[in-house]
Amino acid sequence: MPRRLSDTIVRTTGLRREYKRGSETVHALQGIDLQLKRGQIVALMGPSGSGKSTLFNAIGALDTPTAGKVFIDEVDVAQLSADELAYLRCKKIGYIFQTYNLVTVQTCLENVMTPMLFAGTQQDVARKRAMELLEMVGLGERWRHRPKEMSGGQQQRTAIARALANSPSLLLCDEPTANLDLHTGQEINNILVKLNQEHGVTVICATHDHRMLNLSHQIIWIRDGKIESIADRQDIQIQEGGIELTGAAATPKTAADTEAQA
Amino acid sequence: MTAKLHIQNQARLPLSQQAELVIDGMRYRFFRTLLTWTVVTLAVAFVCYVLAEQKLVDAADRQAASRLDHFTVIQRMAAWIDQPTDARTMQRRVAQIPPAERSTELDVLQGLLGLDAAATRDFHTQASIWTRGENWFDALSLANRRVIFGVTQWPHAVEKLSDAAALAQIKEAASDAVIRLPEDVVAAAPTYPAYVQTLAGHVRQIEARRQTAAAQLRGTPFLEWVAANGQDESKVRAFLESLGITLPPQDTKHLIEHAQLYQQVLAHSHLEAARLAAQQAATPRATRKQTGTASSATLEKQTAAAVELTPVVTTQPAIEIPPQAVTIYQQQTAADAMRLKIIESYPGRDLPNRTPWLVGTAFLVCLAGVSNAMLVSVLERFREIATMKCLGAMDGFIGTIFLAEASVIGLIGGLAGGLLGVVAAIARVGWALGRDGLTTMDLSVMGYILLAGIACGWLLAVLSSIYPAIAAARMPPMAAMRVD
Repeated sequence: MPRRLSDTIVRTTGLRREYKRGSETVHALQGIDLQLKRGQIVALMGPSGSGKSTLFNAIGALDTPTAGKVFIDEVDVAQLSADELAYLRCKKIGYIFQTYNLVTVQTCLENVMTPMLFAGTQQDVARKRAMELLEMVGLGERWRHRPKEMSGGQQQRTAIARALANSPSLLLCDEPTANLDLHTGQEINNILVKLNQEHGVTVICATHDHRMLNLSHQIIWIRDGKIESIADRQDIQIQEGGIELTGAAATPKTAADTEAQA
Repeated sequence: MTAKLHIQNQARLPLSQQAELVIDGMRYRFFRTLLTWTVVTLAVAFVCYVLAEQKLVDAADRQAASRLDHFTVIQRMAAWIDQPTDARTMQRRVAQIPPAERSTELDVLQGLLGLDAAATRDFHTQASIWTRGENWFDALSLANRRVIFGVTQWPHAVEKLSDAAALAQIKEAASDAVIRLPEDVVAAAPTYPAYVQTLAGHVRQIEARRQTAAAQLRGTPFLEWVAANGQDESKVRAFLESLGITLPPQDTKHLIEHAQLYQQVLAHSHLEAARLAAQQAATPRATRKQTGTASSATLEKQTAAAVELTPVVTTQPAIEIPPQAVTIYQQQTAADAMRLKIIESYPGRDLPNRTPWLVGTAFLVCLAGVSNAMLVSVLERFREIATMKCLGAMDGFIGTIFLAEASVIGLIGGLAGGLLGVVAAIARVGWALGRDGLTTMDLSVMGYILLAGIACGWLLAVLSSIYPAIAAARMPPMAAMRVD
């Protein structure tokens, strides 16, 4: 009998994480309490060294806390054995990395098939679903290409398809657009939003990309191992700052001007 | 409230996919794989070379030794059965040495051999050199030895000790198992007065046996008797057993063949001697008849010249050795030559066996090298491994992948190394000992060495990759993330 899905997909209580750097102890997370609801896009923000990555690892079942608890879908992560954790990562969580992390010796299709094979799906079933996923992200014709034959954006799209292979309830993205140019990055963001809206996948994104902020439902700031603030999208106003050109640099020079001068 | 996680349908990657991962992984880092494979191949090749060479040389040595054994057995038996005087003489000589004078080894030896001091010292030195001071009492029976085809009796043998071929032959005779001094004699060796007594006792024992033999032979030389009774092999064997000698059946046949051949040689030489004696008897008369009134001086001179010539001729007749005897002699010299070649090419063979140390060192070096290379491979692929774990790979699976990669390298490296080592050993032995040295090559033994090489290669590779595989299995999945 399937469990009734709860509203909270990730819950942490008193999450602490410390690790030793030489003789010193670094307190990466100092007591974090979070409840993240299902079906939302959440952005994690914070300067480097703030514990953002540590929190990300903790809620993605990649790291065990020193103290406190992490519940993913009401399952206590700390109680799981190594094999059970592997299963959790396989079926419930999808990962998208900044460096794409595709297996270079496998084709696009095989990359997407791998999580399904680990989950025990039959090979032909897996192949069919992988093709569907690739078509969904727009890589239907490139299924037989290897990662090194594809651009960054295409690789990231493959990674997204792979992350969705086992229909996870949670998608963890670690700076997905950091290595991509503006246009491609925007494409990726749009895909993530589409997935969230059409398939109800919860997306947790650690990012610096303000366009992603624009698209997310909830934004969490972390500083010095504690949550600084949590805000819903409607409660914040994103101002795009920039650099204004003044003086001589104000008018952009064209080739005609240069010729006229000379 | 915490919920339980239900694991359903968790399966490993299908075998074909696993195999693909392993092979692709090796192909992608081809140069490093090649390097690892080379290390394994060289280590296995070295070990197989050492083993194969040892086996080949042992086989050649055994065959040459067994060939020489046949001849020495026959010769030594003939020697001590046929020379009644020597045993008695030895006994007498032993009895003649006053107890007070039996102080030094050399004196005892001199008394037994009946040679002068210089010759005795020579013999003692040579004997001590090639028997390493251990078994030289056996060499005393050489005083009785009569070698049929060339090396003559004892005084000449002393001169011939410098001849390497004779040396090898004599060495073989010394280690003959047919006439072996009893344990108590060998044990008493260091204490000379006691030794002399026990040797005297042993001599008495030999003499008793010889008298039994003599009674049966009734004055016929041993080999002549064997040749005459050669048709009845059981009779010959019974006679030998009465003397306390048990020969393997092949050796009995060999003995009979040898005896018959020897008789032919003797008969031929007797015929020659008779012919020449007849010639000698006939010549002076013939000369006298012819010349008639010729001057007696010239006649006498001619007779004297003829007489002078004939002793030389009769005492050393031109023996034409029958063809089979030639073959046996050639075989004997070939066996001698083989043993000499072995001694020359492999001078350290009798030394304590260093093979286990060599093999162990080669394996350790290989382990270190392959271990290092595999560890580098694991650390280099940390992101890939961590990502796999994020996708659901279990720890054991990751370890298995690396062990599988190492297995493949080990098997192929073992095969190549085994082939290389065995072929190199065959080439080396063929070059050192000639083609005759390879006639005893046993291909099944080479095959076993090859299989052992493959197994060793696999074992080496797997053992050295155990630690890297464990390191890979323990890789934390969060290593897939960027370094902050």
